[in-house]
Amino acid sequence: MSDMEPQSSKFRLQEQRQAAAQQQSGQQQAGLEFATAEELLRHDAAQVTPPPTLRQRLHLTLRGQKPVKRRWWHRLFARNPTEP
Amino acid sequence: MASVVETVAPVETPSPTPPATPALEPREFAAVYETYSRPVYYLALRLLGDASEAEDAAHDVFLKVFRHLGEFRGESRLRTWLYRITINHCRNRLQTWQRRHIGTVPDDRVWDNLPSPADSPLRLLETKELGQRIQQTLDALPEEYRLLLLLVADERLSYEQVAELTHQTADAVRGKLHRARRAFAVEFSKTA
Repeated sequence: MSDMEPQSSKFRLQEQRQAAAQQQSGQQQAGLEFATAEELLRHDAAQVTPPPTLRQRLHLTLRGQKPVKRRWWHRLFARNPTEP
Repeated sequence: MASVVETVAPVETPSPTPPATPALEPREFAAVYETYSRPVYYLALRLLGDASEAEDAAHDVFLKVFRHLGEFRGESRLRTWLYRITINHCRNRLQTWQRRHIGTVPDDRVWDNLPSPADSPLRLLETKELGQRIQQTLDALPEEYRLLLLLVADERLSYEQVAELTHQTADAVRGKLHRARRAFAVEFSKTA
C-alpha cells in the first residue's frame, strides 16, 4: 500500500483486517482444546473476576475496624507464633 | 510486617481496578488484596459453586487476613497461607449448610471402570456456559479431587505446597492427580 492511497481506502483495509482477525479469534474460541483438567480450569479462572462489590464491602467493613498490630510477644517469640 | 511486603514483592499482575472503587488501607493489605483477590475468589467460587456465597467467603477470608496479617510468619508463602484460610472457610460453610454432596458422590473407583476420554484432550466447541459445565463437573467429584485439581491448576503452587494444603505427601498428590484428571474428563464429557 502506498502513501498516496486515499485515506478512506486505508480505513477500509484496516476494517477488513480487523474483521478477519475477529473471525479468526472467533474460530479459535469455538474450537478450544485442553490437554488436562488443570489447563481447562486455568482458562476458566482467567475468565472469572471478583465482583466489584467485594472490594466495596470490604472497604465498608474495614472502615469500622482497626488493623491488629503485631504484638510484642509475636516479635519476641517469632519462631513460634500462632498461625491463624 | 516487612516480611509480608517482601513476600508480596514478586507480585503477579494485579487485576485492573475501576477508578471509582474505594481504596483499601493499610497499604500492605491493599497490595495483598490486589494480588490475591482473583485466585481466592475463584477457589471459593468453584468450591462453593455459587457466586454470592463465594463473594461472602472471599469477604470473610480477606477480613481474617486483615486481622492476622501481622501474625503471618513468612514460613509458608502468602499464597499458601491465603489458600489454607480459604479452604478452611469454604469447608466450614459447606458443613454448616449440609446441603451439597450428601450421598451423591460416587466411589472414586467408578471412573476407573468407565470407557474414558481421559487420555484424549478436553475439546470445547462452545465456550458459552463453560463455567456451568465446569461447576457441574467439579460438583460431581469427591471433594479431595476437586480441591486437588483446583490447586494444581494454579501454576504458582508447587506439588509440595499442594501437598501441604491437602495434608498429604507430594507423591500422593502426583498419584491422585491422575485419577482426579480421569474423573474430571469422564464427568466433563457428560455435561456436553
